[in-house]
Amino acid sequence: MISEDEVQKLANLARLELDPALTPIVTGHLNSIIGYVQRLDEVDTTGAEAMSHVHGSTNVLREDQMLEAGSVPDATPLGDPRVPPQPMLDTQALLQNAPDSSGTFIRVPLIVE
Amino acid sequence: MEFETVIGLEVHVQLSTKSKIFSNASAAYGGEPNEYIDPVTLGLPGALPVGNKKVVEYAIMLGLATHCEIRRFNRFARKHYFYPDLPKGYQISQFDEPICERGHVDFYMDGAKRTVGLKRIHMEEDAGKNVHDSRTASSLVDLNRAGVPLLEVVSEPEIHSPAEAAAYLRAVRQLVRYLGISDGNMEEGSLRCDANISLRPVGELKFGTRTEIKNLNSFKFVERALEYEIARQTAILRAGNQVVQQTLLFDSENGSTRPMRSKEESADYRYFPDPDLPPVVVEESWVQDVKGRLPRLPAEWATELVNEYGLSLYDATVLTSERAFVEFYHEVVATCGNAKAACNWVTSEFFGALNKAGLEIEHSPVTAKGLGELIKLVEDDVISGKMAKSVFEEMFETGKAPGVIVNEKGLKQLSNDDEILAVIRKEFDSNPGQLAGYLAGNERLHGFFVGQVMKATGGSANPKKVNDLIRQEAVARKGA
Amino acid sequence: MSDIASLTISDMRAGLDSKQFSCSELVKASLDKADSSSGLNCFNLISAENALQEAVQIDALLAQGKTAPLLGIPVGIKDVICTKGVRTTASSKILENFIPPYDATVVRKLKTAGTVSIGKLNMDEFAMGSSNENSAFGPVKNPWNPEYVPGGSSGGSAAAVAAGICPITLGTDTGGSIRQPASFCGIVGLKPTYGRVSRYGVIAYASSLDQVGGFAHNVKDCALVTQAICGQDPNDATSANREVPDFTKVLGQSIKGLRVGLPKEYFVSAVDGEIDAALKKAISVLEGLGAIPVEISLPHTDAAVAVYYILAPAEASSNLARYDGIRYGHRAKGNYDLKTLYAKSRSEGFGREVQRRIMVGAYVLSTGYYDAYYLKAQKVRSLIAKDFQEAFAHKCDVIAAPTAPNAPFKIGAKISDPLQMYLNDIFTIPVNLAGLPGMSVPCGFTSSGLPIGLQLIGKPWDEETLFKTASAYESATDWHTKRPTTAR
Repeated sequence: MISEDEVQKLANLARLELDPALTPIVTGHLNSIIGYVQRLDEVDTTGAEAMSHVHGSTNVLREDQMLEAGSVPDATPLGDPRVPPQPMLDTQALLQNAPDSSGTFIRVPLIVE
Repeated sequence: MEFETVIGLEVHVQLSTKSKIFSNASAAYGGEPNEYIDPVTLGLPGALPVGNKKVVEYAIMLGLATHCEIRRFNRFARKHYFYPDLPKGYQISQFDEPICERGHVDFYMDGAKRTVGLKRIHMEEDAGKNVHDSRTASSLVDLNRAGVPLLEVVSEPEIHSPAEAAAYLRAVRQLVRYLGISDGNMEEGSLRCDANISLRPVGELKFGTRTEIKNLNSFKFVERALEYEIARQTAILRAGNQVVQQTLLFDSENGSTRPMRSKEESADYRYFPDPDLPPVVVEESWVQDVKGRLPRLPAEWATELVNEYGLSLYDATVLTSERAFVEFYHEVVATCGNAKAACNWVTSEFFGALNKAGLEIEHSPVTAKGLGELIKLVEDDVISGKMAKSVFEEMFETGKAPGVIVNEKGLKQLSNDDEILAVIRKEFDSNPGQLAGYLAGNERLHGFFVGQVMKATGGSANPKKVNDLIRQEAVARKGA
Repeated sequence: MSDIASLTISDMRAGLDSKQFSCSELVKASLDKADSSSGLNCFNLISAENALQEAVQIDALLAQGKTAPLLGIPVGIKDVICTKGVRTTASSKILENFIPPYDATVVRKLKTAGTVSIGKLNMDEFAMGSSNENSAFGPVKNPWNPEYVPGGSSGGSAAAVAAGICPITLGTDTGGSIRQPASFCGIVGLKPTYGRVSRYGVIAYASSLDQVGGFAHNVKDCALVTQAICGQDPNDATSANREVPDFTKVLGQSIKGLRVGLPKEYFVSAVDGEIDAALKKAISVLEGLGAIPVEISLPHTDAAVAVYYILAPAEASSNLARYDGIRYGHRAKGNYDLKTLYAKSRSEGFGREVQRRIMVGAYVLSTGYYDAYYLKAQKVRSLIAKDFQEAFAHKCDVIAAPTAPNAPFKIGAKISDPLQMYLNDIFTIPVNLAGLPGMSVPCGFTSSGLPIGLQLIGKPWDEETLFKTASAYESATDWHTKRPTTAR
């Protein structure tokens, strides 16, 4: 069983703000889910390998190459079907979505180290 | 009560690849803020990492150079924490399966060999940089550095003084520079160091409570921060109190450490294998291939310099401090054939001139071959040591080969016995009074004749020969 | 001109090539249909202007006599797939203003194939859900009966095809999010083998399970869209270096002697009676075509939902850590310190189900619980994959099963009980856990006129057998020709 206290700690760990009024409901839901998944305790996993990746491919690595922004053309109808590696983006691509910026920096509340 | 200091270092080595560890963005230092970005660097929705093969190779290289075991089956893991310079909310690192384990770094300190064990070396991505502005109560984030490849080198707690910590760090820097995998530039953050430090009563086997000092970005700061922390912990223990386990920041302005506020909460990093990155299998054939391409390392060079070339440990240490130095030296010896003379020339005249001109060895106007030829000219008595110094100066200024300068200036040394003897005889005959005194045993007059001969030959006569031949001629005259 | 937007690809291509209508007219018809069906709430964004501009380009190509299997075909893209310059939200408030600066690889491929995207399709927020009720833009309605859910999470993608807005759409499937809505909306949907299709530019929910796939009116159209998006991508290390066969080649081939595995764990009392009956009929159709039904066992089926609800939330809690309001997305208004800003932005931006899964994920990965939950689930996952391997190695060539244990339910019926909602995916989840290809094809209707789906599951990389089996089944039935009349 997860306590309401633990649920608050989890919310904090995941940087979520939990409305205290909703904590009992959320705790109830989490306990029902955690209670359900505990059925795995009954599965015998002796000798079973932990599966972290599917189909077992390995060493999918790229060569050390740098690609300038704009070095890859956009797709065109019936154009080159090969998929190019992703090049760099213009700083503008960051700034157009950034909620707050200063010059080409992203601005955030003061970080206390 | 006396205390023993126990230090372990975590060194972050920034690799000098062209691109980032998981994307095609530039891994260069500097740039305009947020210039080196791409979807992966920004942690954009949908972006996926693809590993850089060179980073794995560099990790194997450093692992081999530090005598580590290389792990065959490698997985990357995600380490979770929230911070504005960490775009994805997790850092891709390695957790309980580091690529290199159980190695050691050997180095000399105060003329004695030291060995510090390595726990592990693992691959990970760097975070971005934050600039703080308390005036506007804001911080500014630059992600150019985010995703630049790092190797984290974790030592065993086997370092026992601040000086030894600095010497170890220099040895790591030397290694990565030899391997050409990092420029090791501490000012630009290519080499960063965190130190774990604890004290224990001498003779005690159990470790004391440790503190961790973050982000020591120069050799000097490493020593100063550790010295401060030793004093601080000693005072606490002497007063009968307990050291609190915490993360500290070194304040280089006032030379003290202070607790890091952002590290007050106990972290739960929730590591798990990164599903976006298939495992990297390092087969023995890959290790052997990398091994075959490793350059000679400082320890091998130093052994050769002492045992084969007969240099002192001190000279060997100076010459092997940089790969470019020892390779330069090696070529000088190959050209001139005299290891000791080459050592003297390289460490005094050559390094002195580089220093004075503020030049890196890579940009030296004097080549190793040129310097070797110059030394050979002295060895072969073509020119005198004194002449060689002025030829060297001219070489450094003009970049000309020594032979060319000697020819141009007619600087050739007079070494032919018959020619020198002819001059000596002439001087003896023109100065009968002095000759009589000399033959009668006045040693001071030997100097007089040396001076006369040198003057007559415009300083080009080989002084050693002049010396010997004056005595030989005097003996002949006495006997006559 | 009659309802050209609801034609199949073959008919559209014939119309375009014979100049019966232009691409611009076709796209216009599609946009009009989207507009007249707006009550279904299929779209988060309709990019009419872009689409019409692209149609003009395509018309120029058609005028040059150019032709290609998908040239000029209107498509819809699930709003979890990044489209350069076109807002992409994953149906979340946290991305309500996000404009991707790059195209997902599948979008690039569809553009190159000559399709025209008419907009971004509604879905469950971050693809978490089985009913499309978890969307910041409101629920999608089932075109067969708007009081019912269309399934999820790719509810908009399925509903848009069923409603005849466009003939093909893209969806994603992490635990059934293509197959279950395809089943609920009476259309064809295929989730390819994990690694067949690039995930680059697809907003991640659970990276080791997510896969992009297509929806269509019929098997051939589904094969065409699947063909267009498959293949290795240098930007996705989990995309496989494998030849992509010509899927259309197997269409119409005989399934005589094909061994169809019927997992006994999937034909149980928990399955709705009408569904069970429709499935049994479908199997007898296959048998009539020469297939050989064989009973098989997948003994770890019962553990699949539990495994999924550990692994998927764990990966999701990690994948969703990037939504912090720093570089893009929703940032809470107000003068907060950094930590509060994170918590406020994320709580305001994420819906309840998403927050619930993030917390479950954080829990199962946290110190002290990792081995008991996460590691254990990974081990059981490998046992589930092994069950399938055994069945395919010794017993059968393809597996047939219900897509969902029940028919579409009413909007609001299950929303208050997350666990009941999760159990809706009991037959689709094991396929994702094992990384297999899976497909849903229409196989009947309930007495109240709601669609039922037949699920076909194949060996890894063997989408061909799915297409072959489905195409044979389709040729013997007419379920795929049924269209909802209530589309509004």
